[in-house]
Amino acid sequence: MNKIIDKLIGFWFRPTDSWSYAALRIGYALSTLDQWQSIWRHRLDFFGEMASIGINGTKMYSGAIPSIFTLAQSPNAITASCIAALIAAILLICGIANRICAIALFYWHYSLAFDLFPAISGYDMIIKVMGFILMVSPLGNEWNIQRVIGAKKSRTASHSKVPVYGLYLLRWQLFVIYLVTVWLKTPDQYWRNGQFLSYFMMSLYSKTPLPVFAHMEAISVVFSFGTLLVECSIPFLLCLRRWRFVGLLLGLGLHIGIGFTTNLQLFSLAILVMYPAFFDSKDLAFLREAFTKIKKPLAASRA
Amino acid sequence: MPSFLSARTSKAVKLITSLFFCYHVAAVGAVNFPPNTALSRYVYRPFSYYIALFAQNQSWDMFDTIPYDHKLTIEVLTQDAQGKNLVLSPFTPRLVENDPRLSTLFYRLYPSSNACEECWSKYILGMCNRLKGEIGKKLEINPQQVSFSLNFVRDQLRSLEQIRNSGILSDKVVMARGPVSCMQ
Repeated sequence: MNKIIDKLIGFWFRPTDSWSYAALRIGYALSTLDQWQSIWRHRLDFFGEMASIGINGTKMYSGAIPSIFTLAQSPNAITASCIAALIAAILLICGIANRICAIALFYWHYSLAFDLFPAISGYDMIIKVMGFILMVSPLGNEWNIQRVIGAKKSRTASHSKVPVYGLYLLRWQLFVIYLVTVWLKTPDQYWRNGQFLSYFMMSLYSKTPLPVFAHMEAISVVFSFGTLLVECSIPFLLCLRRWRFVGLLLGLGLHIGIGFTTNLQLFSLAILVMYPAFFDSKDLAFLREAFTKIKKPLAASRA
Repeated sequence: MPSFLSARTSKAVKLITSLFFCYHVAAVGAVNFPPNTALSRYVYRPFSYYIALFAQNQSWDMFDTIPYDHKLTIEVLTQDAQGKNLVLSPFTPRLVENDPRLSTLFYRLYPSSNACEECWSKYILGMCNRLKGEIGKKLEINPQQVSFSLNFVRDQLRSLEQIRNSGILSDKVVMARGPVSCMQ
């Protein structure tokens, strides 16, 4: 029994470099900022006494604690709450008071889950579940403003080791997101006949909704099936060290492509910022080596 | 682990924490288990309270089918005190066209949607407060006789074949919810 307990603890608390958490922390805060700006201009319509949405006070509300917007009802209180969330996100990017900011931002996302319904979208849910995991994760002390200032004085930086459990939870979450979305798409007739992308590019989500996409059905088939294949491959590729960078490139291609062609940039950002959960110091070392190998011939050819 | 904890206590804390992580992993899997199977309620039951409590409910059905509209325009129709028809934005400041968040909201308020009746009641309350308040005063709406309709103007996508033959992307479909009296 002791062996099992030790293995279980060893699995979740294996030491790892904290830079992955730093990247996740910064990415999460950036996606929160993007989400924040989409809410800010309509905050008085969404929250408080004049709210037109939200399930506070209805039987659909199931939260453990009141949302911030139950407490902040007046226009000034709503504005102050939103500014507090903004400050917490900026501090989290700078690596200041990480734990307090992570808790504060999760409370913000928790409140939005109730007060923003039914205006809540998939990208809000991604940021919310990521926020919960980061709230309970070791955030380390990498990539913060003190280190940036300190780096000017000292070249040596200590890299702390922290437990890996937060990264494992995020990897599992990303697995679930990709595999469930493929599971739900594959029975649909438009995904099955490859027409999905043509319709999507003519829809209200597209930046260029033109009739020409109706004439590109063959290309739509390639990209529709390709999307499904990429989405179900990415989490597995990211798990395997040899194929990790292939998974990264496919993910970047898919989500940056979505970001450029649609008005769903927040969705792309919210997903991509979870990718650092799969990378460790060996991957960083591999990248550095690869860049050095590219740099040497370039420098030699210039000389 | 804090250094003041003994080795035994530290191990116990790590064990409990590890078990919590296993529970969370199982909960995330369970909440995404297909809902229409004979096993679904048994799978979900051990985690339902935890999921609801921490707002960890998740639904990854984004774009599980095609978007049906090329464009969606939402209008609030009401009248001022002189009986003149007014067409307003459903939100202030003015609704940003093609804001994906707001299209999500209004699809859930659509007349044939069963997504959330409480949401429609909440929307009525918020809009009535607005029309009876400052905005109503500016537009000279009689606060004793406020009513409104919510118009959904959809540019509904045609089939690919129809678009290829005609060059026309969509057909206009207008549905309304209301009129709703704010005096109730």
